[in-house]
Amino acid sequence: MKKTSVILCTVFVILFLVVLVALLVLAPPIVLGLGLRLGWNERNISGLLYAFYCCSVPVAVALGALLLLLRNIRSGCPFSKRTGALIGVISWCCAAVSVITLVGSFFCFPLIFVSVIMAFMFLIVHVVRLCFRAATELNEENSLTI
Amino acid sequence: MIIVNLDVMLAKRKMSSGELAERIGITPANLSILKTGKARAIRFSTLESICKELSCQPADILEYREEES
Repeated sequence: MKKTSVILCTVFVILFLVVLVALLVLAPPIVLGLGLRLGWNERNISGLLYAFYCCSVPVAVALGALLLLLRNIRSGCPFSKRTGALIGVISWCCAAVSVITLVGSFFCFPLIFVSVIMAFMFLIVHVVRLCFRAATELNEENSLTI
Repeated sequence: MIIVNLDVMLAKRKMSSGELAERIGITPANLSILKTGKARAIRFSTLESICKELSCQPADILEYREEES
C-alpha cells in the first residue's frame, strides 16, 4: 500500500475538517450574500442555513470516521470488522445528509439536488461496505487456514 | 465437527509443538490454532508435512465427531 496516497488522503480530510469549522463560523454572511445575489427570499436563505448547520453534524462524524479508517489502513489492518463498521457510519452519514437536505428542499428547492446526490453516495458507500464485509470474512478464513 | 488429535501423535512421537512447527515451517501460534480446533481449514501441503514428520496417516490426526445439538 502506497504510504503517500494514505498520507495525502489524511491531509485532505483534515483540510476538509478545517474548512467545515471555518464554514460553521462564516456560513451566515456567505449564505446571506449568496441569497441576496440570487434574489432569494428569507425563507430560502434560512432554509439553506438551517440545512447547512444540521448537515454539519453528520459531515463532521463522517470526516472523523474517515480519519479513523485511514489510521486503520496505516496500521496495516484494513480488513477488520472495525473498518466495516466505520464504512457503515460513513454511509449512514450520507443518508442523514440526504434526508436533511430533502427536508430543506421544501424551504430552498436547489437542496433537492444535494439530497439526490447524497442518496446515491449512500448507496455506493453501502455497497462498498458489503464488499468489505465479504473481504473481511475471506481474510479471516484465510488467516485461520493453516 | 473435525477434531485435530495432534497432541496424541506428538506425545507418541515424543516431539514438542515448537519442534513440529519448526520442522513443517509454520509458526507455533498457527500450530496452536490447529491444535485447539480454532482453524477453519488446513492446506493439503500442511497436512502432508505433518504426516511426514510424525510418520502417520491423516486419519491418525483428524477425527470426525457428530456435533451435539
